[in-house]
Amino acid sequence: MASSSSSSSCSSSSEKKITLKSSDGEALNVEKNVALEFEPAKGFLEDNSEEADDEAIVVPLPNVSAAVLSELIPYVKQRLELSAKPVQKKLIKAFDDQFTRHLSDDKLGELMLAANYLGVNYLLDVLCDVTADRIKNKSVEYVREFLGIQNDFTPEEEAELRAQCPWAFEGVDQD
Amino acid sequence: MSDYVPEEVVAQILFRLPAKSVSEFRCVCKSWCALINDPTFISNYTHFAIKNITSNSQVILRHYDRVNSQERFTLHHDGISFSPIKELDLPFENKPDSFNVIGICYGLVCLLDYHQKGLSKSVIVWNPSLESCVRIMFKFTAANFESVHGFGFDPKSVDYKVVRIVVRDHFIIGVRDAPRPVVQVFALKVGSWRNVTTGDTSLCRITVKTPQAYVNGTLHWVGYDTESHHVAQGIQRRLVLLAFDLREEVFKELNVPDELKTDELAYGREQKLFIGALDQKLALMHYYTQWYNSPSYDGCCIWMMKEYGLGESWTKQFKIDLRLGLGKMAGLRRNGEMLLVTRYNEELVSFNTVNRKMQKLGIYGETWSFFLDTYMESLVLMQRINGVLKMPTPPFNATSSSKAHRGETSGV
Repeated sequence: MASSSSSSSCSSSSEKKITLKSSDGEALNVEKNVALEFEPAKGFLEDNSEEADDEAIVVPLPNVSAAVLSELIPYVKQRLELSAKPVQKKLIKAFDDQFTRHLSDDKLGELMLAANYLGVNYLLDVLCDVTADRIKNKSVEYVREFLGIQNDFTPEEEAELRAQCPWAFEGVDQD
Repeated sequence: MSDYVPEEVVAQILFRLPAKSVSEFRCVCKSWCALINDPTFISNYTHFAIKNITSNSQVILRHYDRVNSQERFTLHHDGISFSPIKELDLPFENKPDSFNVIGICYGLVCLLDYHQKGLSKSVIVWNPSLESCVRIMFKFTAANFESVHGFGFDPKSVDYKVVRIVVRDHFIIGVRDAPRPVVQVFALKVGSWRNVTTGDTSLCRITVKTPQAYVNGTLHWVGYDTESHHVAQGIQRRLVLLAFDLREEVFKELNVPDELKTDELAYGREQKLFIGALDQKLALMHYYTQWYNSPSYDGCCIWMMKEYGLGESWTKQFKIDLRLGLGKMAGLRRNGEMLLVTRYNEELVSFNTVNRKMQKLGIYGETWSFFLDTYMESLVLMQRINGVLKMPTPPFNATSSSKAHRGETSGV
């Protein structure tokens, strides 16, 4: 989606490439500076620094699917370009807004887990902001559904807990 | 979303939610409930809110509404407009002259209860975001004791503290006087009063009911040196600031700007020097008259301490001409405009110091009562909602309230 603009501004073919291997076995070629933004990849590259040819390195990322990685890579790439320039915070915010605006709830969750696993904290912050915004003032049932959480309370336990702070359930939005 | 969301991510999401939603979401599942009830989580929630307080556009405004004879606390958006969000419900009786505001700090409000005529027996710490409060009874009270109170946040222990300085005197408290004053601290997490030793350092005097300013983990009051000397017009005192560091629980003194050091009218009816916190910095509002017999103040100089603790960094930041009919400075807005109270009808107005345009806000109250602070959500005092009282409950005489109190707990 954002590949057209990134290819124009980052045309240097001399940039070293690294191969990332997704949980579903797909190999993705990325610039080394992008790969270094992912904590597990950074650690892997440091451990294998004696390897002369970066091209030969394949970093396994067993917790992230190719679909999620292919969304993350252009984001991180553009975000790196943005933060390299002396841009205003506003521009980064606008870019983040554009990235997150059309994310489905499911996609949002997948990206959040991936950002957490990969240690991309600036993205995790943004995704948590969006998630919080989407579940703010919603019902307990809505939140369980939204995050796919199983209710492990007995009906009695839940009723007791609700009775402790009835006011917290007043004025909750309709799902 | 169906994959398991790790606890650290859940916490990150919850930090961004209002306290009411967080309390509600304890019902989502057992692990969320355990996480939210954890005191470490509550501290981290506070940390997150404090870290982001500068980007927070909500303010809490307190004023005394003369028409309805009651204290009012309202939330406002401090954006382009100063639009009201909601009126806060006091979870205790709101009778005229029944309490005095000690301070508002990081989302909590501390009030001095005036229940017994002239004799305060307790303070109330109120968390508006959870609509809960705790009443803290004093350890000793007597007619011939005077006290100064303070309320603030200790960043070291991540806890709110109520400070009480008690002395057997009239109106004036001198920390170096004999007998020494008793200084007591009530930390909310500890849940009991503890005496603090003031040491042998000589410190200035402060008067009862003098307002406080909370900046940099420290409480401040305007005080003066006891070594007053006589000048032609009367007694002149050297003004200083008394500071109480809530982390180390020690007193110290800070200098006021040289220009204000010998201001002889800092107290009582003719008080003209007020302390406050503006933009997270220590500020002094100095009201002055140009002519000896001016009927009211002609102007107000606002000094800000640019670098905390450094006397030389006091800067005269604003100078406002009050002859336009303005009375008192109430606060600074995020857009740089100043909130002032008009002298004629005691209305709050937003004043642009550059183009001198004034915008009426339609809020009327006693001039002295306007007080503004950045609002923030807090989970402190959620224990009561959790059904677990962290503080022991003494046989507390209900304040014969007609209103159903929500979540009031007591501590000694």
